[in-house]
Amino acid sequence: MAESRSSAQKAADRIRFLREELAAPDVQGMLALTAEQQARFDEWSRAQLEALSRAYDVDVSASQKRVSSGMRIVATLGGLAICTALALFFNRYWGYLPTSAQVSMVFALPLLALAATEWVARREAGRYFTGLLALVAMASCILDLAAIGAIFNIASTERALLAWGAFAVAVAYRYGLRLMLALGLGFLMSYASAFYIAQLGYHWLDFWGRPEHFILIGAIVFALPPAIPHRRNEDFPQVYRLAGALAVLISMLSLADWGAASYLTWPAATIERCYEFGGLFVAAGMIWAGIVRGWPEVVNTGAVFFAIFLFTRLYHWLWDWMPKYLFFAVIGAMGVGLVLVFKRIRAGAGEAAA
Amino acid sequence: MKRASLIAAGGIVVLANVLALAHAARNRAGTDAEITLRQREARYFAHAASAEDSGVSLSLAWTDLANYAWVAPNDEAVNWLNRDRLMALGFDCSMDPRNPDSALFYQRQRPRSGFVALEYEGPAWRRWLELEQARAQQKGGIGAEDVSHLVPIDADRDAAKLRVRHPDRSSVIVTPAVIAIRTNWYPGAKVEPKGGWRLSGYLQELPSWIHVPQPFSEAFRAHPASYRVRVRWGALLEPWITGVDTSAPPTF
Repeated sequence: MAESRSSAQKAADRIRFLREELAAPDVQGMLALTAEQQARFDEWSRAQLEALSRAYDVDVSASQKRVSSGMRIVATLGGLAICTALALFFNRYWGYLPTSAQVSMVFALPLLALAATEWVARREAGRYFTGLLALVAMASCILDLAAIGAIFNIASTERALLAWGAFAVAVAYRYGLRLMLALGLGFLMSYASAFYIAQLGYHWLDFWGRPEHFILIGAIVFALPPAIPHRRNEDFPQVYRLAGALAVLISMLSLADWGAASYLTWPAATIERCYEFGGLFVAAGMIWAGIVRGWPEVVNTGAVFFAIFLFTRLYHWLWDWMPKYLFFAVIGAMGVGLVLVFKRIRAGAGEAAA
Repeated sequence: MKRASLIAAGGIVVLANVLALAHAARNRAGTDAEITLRQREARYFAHAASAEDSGVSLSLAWTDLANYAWVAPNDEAVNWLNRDRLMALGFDCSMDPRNPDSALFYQRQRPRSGFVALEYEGPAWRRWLELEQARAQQKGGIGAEDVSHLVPIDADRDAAKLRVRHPDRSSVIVTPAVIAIRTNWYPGAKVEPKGGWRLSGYLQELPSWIHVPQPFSEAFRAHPASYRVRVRWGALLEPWITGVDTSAPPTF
């Protein structure tokens, strides 16, 4: 039996594909299974899918998968709406409460939401309501520290980011929730940058003012998965790589746009050009690494940012001296060229697999 | 292992709350300053109060003499956040303003965290009145009625040093601040600006919102015409309200 819901889903997908392939006339003609063999396979695959569905509420058909994606989106939007309602409700009435009641309320909220998440998670294999309640717990945790800070006029510090990040990561690992892990990594990366900025004597909220921190922190997060065993949450390494890749590429894009935020003391225009070309190379490197290692999320992120960096560079080179229709024609031609390059890479990957 | 992450999540909430409350208790265990402020210094924005937010907060307002640099560029009180103080705060002020790259050099320096001393109705406030009267003689219309009498006079990276320099706890508040650097010339400037090359700082941010707890907040729901609030700054330089008087007549 599978160890986690993600590995159970992979096993169910494999069985479903096998069933569909064996039902195809050309495969049936080639394999020529006896009626007894076919019946045994049908019985085995049905039992396997039923067991996986019972234990992990996995999708056992293509239509179920589509509905599940919709349910996840609806659960996330519902969770966000409940978080907003919670914050607005607190705002609406907190001023009428004495300080002791305010503190007790905001302290109890995240613990109650966490208890509710645990209660639902033990009764639901699909993680839809679990994800929704985990979001509410996260919002309650944020509200808790923000409200205590406001009630006691505590000067804001970066330490709240550490608490929120650690809470989100703990909840993510407990319930196997990728969105919570992404939130937690975002908080922890921001905390690392804010902590360093504060140590240097700058205002901690200025942590995005030095995007180079996020290049280093993002690279570390990207490289983390091999160091952390993920037997239960097999889909978590993708989140680490995606969060790391986004941190690196968004920082480089930001520096390519405004080089004055860099630690480098060169003229801002030189820094911007360096990060423009650097971003192109890093994005291309991510596409290559993603193809070689089989990381689709890294390939997609790399491809999007490669196109953005390329567009930015071409804009600086060509926009002023070229007719606008020709500029967009060049962009279109580059797009066609990139698709051809990807086709060759894809064909090469197919031959290697064969 | 899975149970450990649940315990960790709950533990983080408990620990974060305990630390925050211990911090608040430590702050309130001591007194760094205690001052009675009026509505011009601790402002209640009644128009911002709505049914959606029942909380009551006062916004600390201050009057920065540095804004009068165009009236009295060489005045010592106006230049309170000068080059020496900026260097003490950690800014690199080594580049000569005549260097063509100097404006960019200073513009690229990020705001720094430090502490600022705000004086209530002291010599700095009286200097502001003199400057304002001089300005009014030229342009007319003195507007001192609702101007805060709280004036920043000094800044340092170390709050204790600031308190030693300004020991009067009944008229000088020491509070955390975010301070930014500015120049009176632009990148590529070739001509010396009127009043000379001037490097100065300004208060980009102060923790200016002071929460009004129950029962004091009830007095503000009636939108009083005037009020006084007794504010105490604790051992960690964080304020809290110890009293509100809405019976006092408006005095400017």
